[in-house]
This record gives sequence, structure tokens and C-alpha cells, in this order.
Amino acid sequence: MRKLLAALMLVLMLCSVAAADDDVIKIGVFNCLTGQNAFGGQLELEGTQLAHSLFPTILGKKVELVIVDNKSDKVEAANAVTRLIENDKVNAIIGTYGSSLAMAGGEVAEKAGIPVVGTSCTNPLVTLDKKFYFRACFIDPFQGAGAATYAFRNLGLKKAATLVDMSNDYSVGLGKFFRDSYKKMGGEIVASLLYQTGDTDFTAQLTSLIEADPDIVFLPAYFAEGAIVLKQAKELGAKFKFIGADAMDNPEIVTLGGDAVEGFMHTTFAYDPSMPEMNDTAKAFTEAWNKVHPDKAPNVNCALGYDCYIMLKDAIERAGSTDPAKIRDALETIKDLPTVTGMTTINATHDAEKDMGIVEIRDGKKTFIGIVKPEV
Amino acid sequence: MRRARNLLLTIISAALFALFLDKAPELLNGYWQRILNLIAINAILALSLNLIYGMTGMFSLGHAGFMAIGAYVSALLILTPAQKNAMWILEDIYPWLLHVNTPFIISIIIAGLVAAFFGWLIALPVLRLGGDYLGIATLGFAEIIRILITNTPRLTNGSLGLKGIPAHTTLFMSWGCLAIVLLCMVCMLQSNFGGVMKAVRDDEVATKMMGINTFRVKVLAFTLGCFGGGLGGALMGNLITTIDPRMFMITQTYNILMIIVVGGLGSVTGSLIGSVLVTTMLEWLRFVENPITIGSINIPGIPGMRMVIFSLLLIVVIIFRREGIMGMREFSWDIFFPKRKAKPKESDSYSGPVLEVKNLCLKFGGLTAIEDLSFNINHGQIIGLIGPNGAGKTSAFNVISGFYKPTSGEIKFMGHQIGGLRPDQVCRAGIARTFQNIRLFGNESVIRNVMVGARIRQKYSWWMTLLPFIFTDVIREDSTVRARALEFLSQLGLEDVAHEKASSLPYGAQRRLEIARALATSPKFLLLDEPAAGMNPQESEELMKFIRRLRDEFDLTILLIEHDMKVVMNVCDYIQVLDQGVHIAQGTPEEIKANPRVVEAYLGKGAA
Repeated sequence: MRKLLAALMLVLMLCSVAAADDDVIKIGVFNCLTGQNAFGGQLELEGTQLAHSLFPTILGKKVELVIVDNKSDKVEAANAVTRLIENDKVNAIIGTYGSSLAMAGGEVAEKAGIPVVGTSCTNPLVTLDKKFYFRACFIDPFQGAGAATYAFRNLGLKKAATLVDMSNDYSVGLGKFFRDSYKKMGGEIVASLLYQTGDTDFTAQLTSLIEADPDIVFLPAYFAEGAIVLKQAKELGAKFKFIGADAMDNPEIVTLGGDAVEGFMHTTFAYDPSMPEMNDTAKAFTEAWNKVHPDKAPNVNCALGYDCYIMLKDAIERAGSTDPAKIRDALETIKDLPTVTGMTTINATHDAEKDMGIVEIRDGKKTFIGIVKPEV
Repeated sequence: MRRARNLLLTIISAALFALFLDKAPELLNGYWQRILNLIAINAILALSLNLIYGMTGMFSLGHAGFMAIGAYVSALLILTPAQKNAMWILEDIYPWLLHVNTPFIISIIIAGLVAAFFGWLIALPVLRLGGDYLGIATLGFAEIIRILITNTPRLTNGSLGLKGIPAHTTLFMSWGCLAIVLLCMVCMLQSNFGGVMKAVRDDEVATKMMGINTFRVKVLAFTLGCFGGGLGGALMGNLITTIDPRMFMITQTYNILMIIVVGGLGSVTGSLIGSVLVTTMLEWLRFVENPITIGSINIPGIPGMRMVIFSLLLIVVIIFRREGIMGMREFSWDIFFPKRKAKPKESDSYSGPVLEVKNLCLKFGGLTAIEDLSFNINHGQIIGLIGPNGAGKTSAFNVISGFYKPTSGEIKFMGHQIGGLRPDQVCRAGIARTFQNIRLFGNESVIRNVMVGARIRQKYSWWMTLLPFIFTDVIREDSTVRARALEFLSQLGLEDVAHEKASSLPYGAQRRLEIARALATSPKFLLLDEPAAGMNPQESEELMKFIRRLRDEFDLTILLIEHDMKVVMNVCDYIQVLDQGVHIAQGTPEEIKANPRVVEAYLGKGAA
């Protein structure tokens, strides 16, 4: 038995030895491919891989993607980034879904001086005091304010409430920034209620909400809980509207939510396959995606994964070098770069400034209904 | 001896490992350094949970909670006010907390203590439960801790978590902490108190009947284990540099549990092996998720594959070794040293004559000192060897004790050939002697003379005497030997002069000292060369009693050369007579007295 095991290990070890090549650009991808965030991580990876297949060379050099899984776990995320930097000697890194994972990995990259472009890690702390961390997404305050702006200005709703996942940093942050911004514009917050990740019964919170009688409820939830909230709200006969955020952007929302999600809105990045006017990058992306994945529609995670690659490509080309420090400097000066999710500009805090889109489920279809400029 | 050797080996390997850690930044890349760090932290966590579960038998699932407490306490203590201000974006931090700031070391100690305090608090009510109930209660507690952290944003920044914790967990820090934890734990487990803990695990009722408050023992073990959990959590936080409540879910506890189950519940070594194995395997197996090319076959990478393989390996381990890799056993250096077969105790099993002399001849050139001497001595006998001057008595002694090599013939001691062995070998075999012309270490104190005799029965090696406070065997054995030496001296009436110079003693006392010194070698067979020489009648009287007592108390067999016929006839069970190197007679004292040849050659007509 022992000998068998030893032999097995030896074989495995021999297989793991990979050939090194100097004339390639290595881009590491660390994302959640397994674990609780695997759904988002997988989509982002597919977006990045799509971009790689369209632009396999940068500066005439072959680009190699090195993909590692962070298992949606902080310790693993730090390990994964260390492995990319130390073992695979990557020039730059893309990742990840989940802000806490990005923070764990970011610390390692910062120390090693390897630039990272975050996909959908929206917590402000991710890039705080970081020289080497950038992101293709906007941050929670921006999005919270965007939802508030759309509700107050565009829809003219004066009474709002929030229903927030207390154990989720993303949800808590968005909820706070929504309330702050809504109140600043002159709106009234009539209730702010809480739940925990994994809850399945929201009737207590929903009953309180029905009593408080808001015009709109901001629900910065992940899809698992969000879908149940919407379903139970319909069952209880709630009259108010719901607006969510980008975590609710899921291609399967209609199939899973049925008629309970009808009329549900959410903020998102300025991309949706249903957009009437797409920029050229978005068109190219959508076409290529439909060719590779004819059976599923792309969402913003795919788009962001794609955009990260485009941002790195732009930075490397402008830097004219694969030196990590030079790539970093070029990333810092990205301005009005056409990406799938609109024109991207990197601001002083390394966050992407771009337009925000609003999507509504109409007649069982995700419909892109407009672009909003958040009043932060 | 064995303990000291093992201690030395442990110290040497620890020093080598420290040297390795010192060189690690040059030898290993950051990735492997991180894994080394993780191994140490996982080992601390595993050891502390093993103390609770494996050693004391309390099934606890609360470790993640204690880790969370440790990680948060440490992080809150070392983050700077500026960092805290920047991070608490949802609600303001408590003002008192803002300016709390301590060095790293203090923060991890406080982290451990706070975790231990919470552990103690929960232990008091919960440890009244047992078995599965305890597991569920502690599991609940860990969840409560996590939810409390999530819901006290002013204290903990809630679900946003903390980041920018300085990466204080260096290799020396993590392994240093592990070394201390390991040392304390091994020492405690080896003490009798450690035995009590395991007794509680194996049979609590019986332990109670030993007069032990088992509840207190359990609370103590649980609290100590929680200290380790807090410490490990603090180190983990300082390694990852960012923490949030979701890091400390039940899966974290399962990870640690997995380590100790794979390594072996109740084995310190197992926990260490488990940490190394689980930590490295999880990372090392990453390659199975990459595309692999074996020859012409291309296997695309499948995310999650490594968990599948890892789980399969775990299942294999548990199927083939249900008790884990180590079970309850511990590592010992002894496995590298072939066990010396314990020599069968000859005095117990050996029933033949103690000493057999057969056809012994000793010749110096043309001079024949001993010719064809044969006799047997049985266990417990006192044998007299007599004869006129120059008869070869002392020569016989010298041959037996190894100073001369026999020209021919055999000498067997306890059935083993000793003819031709060196004197020191003969002594080790169990034969001691005194000398006709006294040979003491004249400049040394009386007691030192005796102690030298005991050296061959001591187990420590010379190099340990360089550091007696580390190799406490030296001090312990020496004090035992000193006490025994004093005992011998008092039996021989020499205790008052124990610290005098040996050469300053009167003649009779010197003789007795020689006997004491011979006895200190713990012999089975004693050769006394004219012990009564120079003694007055009263002293010889006492000597006779003493010789008999020696035989009875020390289970000795004694061969005695003596000219004092009163002594010989009264003490000896049997007598051998030599004359001119020739064995002329043997028999009981009565037979010898009546033997005409002896009378003619030695005793003289008057004596009979």
C-alpha cells in the first residue's frame, strides 16, 4: 500500500514539472473556481479566457494564462497569489470575485510589486493604500449612490428602505452608502432591516417593511437570498418596488425567480446583452461569447473578466514592456479606455470610473433601461 | 543515558532546524516560506485542539470561534489609529479602541489570554455536558462569536473585516511559538498531570475515585487549548494580514479536526505530521487543476480536482489506519537505535556454580605460580583460600581478577569465560576485589574513593557533565551514588571520616574503606585479600560479622584470602588450600583442620 502511494506521488510530481519559456508574458488569474463564490468566479474566468483567445499575443509575445483556484477562502487566496508570483513568475495578475479574497491576495502582490487588476471586488478597502492593486469595477459607495440616485431622481420615489445582509461586507457597505446618498438628496429612509447569509425565511423583515410602507426597497443581496426575498415578498403581497445591485446580475434570474422577479431592478455595469446601443468592444465581446458559449448569455462578471485582460493589454502596450513596475505605472494612467462595460478611467484610488447601468426584468426578460450618473 | 541521548538529539535537530529557518529566505521562495508558516500555525492549532479532544477526550467543535477571538484581539491591538480611522467606514470605531496600540508579541499573548478567558467562561457551564452534546454546544458557541463580531461594527468593523495588519508572522515567529507550545505540551503530558488528563479521557469515573476533581482538570485543559486557538488565530491574522468574520466558519474547525484525525487523536507527533501533510498536500496538489500533458495525452485542468484527490487520500488513510497515522503513539529517537537486548539476569536464571576454575595454570617463565588448580564456588558461599606465603593465593586472585592471563586452563564466571579478560572487563562482569597491599586513592576524600567505585554502574556519559543543569541525570545519579556511598561507609563505621583524605586514615580503616569501595561497584562476587590483616581481635570479630552480613544483604559470593585462622574457620563455608602453587586440599573447616597434609604444610601441629 505504502509503496503504491509513493509511486503514485512520484508520478504526480513528475507530471507537475512544467517547461519554462522566457518569451512569453505570463498573466496569473486567481479566482474562486470552487467554494461558495464559484459561480461568479467561473464566469469571470470565462470572460478572461475569451479575451485571451481573441488577443493571444501582446507586444508580439505569446500570452500565457496561469489559472489558480482560491476556493473562496482567504488563506487559499493568499497562497494562490504567492504561488503565481513565486513559482510561476507572472508579470501581472487578474482577480478576484469577493473583496475579502482580493484583500488577502493584494497584500502579497503589494509586497512583491506585481500589479493586480481586480474583477468585481467592490469593497473600498481593497485598493486602500495599495500601489499595485487596481480594479475594473466601481466601488460600493459609487454603486449605492447610483441606486439611490436612480430611485430618487429618475423614478421620483421619496420613501425608501434597505434590507441588508449583515454578515456580508458588500451588502453592508452598499446599504450604508445608499442610505447616506438618499438622505442627502432629500429622501426619507423609513426602515433598515437586516438578515444573515444563509437565511431562508424573510417573512418577519418583509412584514415590517410592508408596515413601514416605503416606495422602494434597496436589496443589495447575493442571488441566493435575493431570489427568496423577492419570492416571499410577492407571496405576502408587498406593493413596493425592489432595486438591487450587481450581485443580483445573474443570467438565470428569470428562470429561477419566475414571475416573482418581474419588475425587479438592479444597478449594474453598463453592459448587458440586451443593451440597445453597444460600443464596439462590447459588440465584439458579445459576438465572440455567443460563438464560444452558444447556450448561455454573458453577464457583467464575464464582461469584467474580459475587461481586466483588456486593461492589462492596454497597459502593457503603452508601457512597451512586461516589467511589472512599468505595467503598474501604465495601469495608473488608463483614461477613457473602451471596454465592454463602457469607457474606463482609473482614478486616484485605483478604482474604475465608468457609467452605471440599470436593468429591469420586464416580461420575463432582462432589459437594459438606462445609464445613471451617481450623485456621491 | 537514553533520555540524555534523546534530549541531545532533540536539541541538535532543533538547532539545525533553527539554522534552516535562518537560511530559509535564501533557500526558499516566498511561496514555500508561506507554506512553512502555515504549517507552524496549523500545528499550533492542531496541538491545542488535540489537547482538548485527543488528550482529555472532550469533543469540541468551537476552535474557529477561539481563533476568531485571537485574530481580532491581536489585530485590534496592533493596528495604528490612522489605519483604524480609514477602515471603519460604516460606523465610527469606539474612541477608546482607536488609540489602543501594543507591540506584536504582547498582542498575541493577550490574544491567547482573551481566548482562554472566553474558553474558561464557556467551559464552566458546557463541560457539564459530555460527548456529542459538548460538540454541539461548542459549535454553537463558535457561531455566536462569529455573529457577535459581525454585529458589533463599532468594535470589529463588522462584516467589512480588517485589513493592513502588519505581516508580523515571520518564520521565526510562527515556529518559535510552535516550539514553545510544543515544549510546554510535551513537558505537561510527560508529567503525572498529563497522565491524569489521559486518565480522564479513558475513564472519568475511575479518575474521580483517585481523588481527582475531573471537572477542574477538564476546565483547565479546555482553557489551555483555547489559549492555543487564540494564539494560532492571531498568528494566522498576522500572516494573511486581513481578517473578516467569514474566515472563521465551521469549516475552519473541520480543517483542524482533519489534521488531528489524520495524524492520530491523542498524539502530539501525529498533530505535527498531520499539519505538514495536510498543508503541503493541499498546495502541492494544485497542479492537478492545471492542464497536464502526459506524453500525447492532454488532460484539461478541472477546478476543484485537488479537493477530490485530497479527499480520496484522506479516505485511504482512514480506511487503512483508522486511528490516524500515529494513533496514540509518539515519536521517539529510540526507533533509530536498535534495542539492546536486555541481558537476562544471570543471577536469577543461572543456577550453576558462580565461579568455576578448571585446570588453571599460571607460569612466569620457568616459575610455576599455580599448577592445575580446579575448584567450583556455589552461589552464596564464603570460601577461604589459605596456604603459606608464596603458595599462589594472591596469584590466583590476580588471574581471576584479570591482572594475569592464565597460561592454560579455564575460569568461568556465571557460566561465561572470563579468563584473559582485562581487569575492568572483569569488574563490569561483576567481580570486585581488595588488595593485600592497600591501594586507595590516597589524596582523595574517603567518600570520593567509594564514589569512583560506583562509576561503572552510572548511566550518564562524560559529555553530559559539561552541562549538568541540562542533563540533570548527572546531578541525580551522582546524588544517588553519594547517598549509597555514605551508606556503605556507615556500615563500615567510616561515616565520620567520610570527608577526610583517604591516606590519613589508620590502617584498619583503610582496609575497610577498600571493601566499601569494592562494594560500590555492585559486584556479585567479592575477592577479599587478607581483610583482617592489621586488625586487632575485636576488629576481626566485627569483620567476621560484617562479611557474613555482606553475603546476606548484598547477595554476594565471597572468596577470601586470610591468614587469621580464627576468621577463616569461623566465617568460611568451605576452604581451598594451596601450597607451592599446588592445590593440596579442600573441604569444610572441620575437614581442613583434620587434614594431615594441611596441618603439615600450613597450620602446624599446634593449630589442630
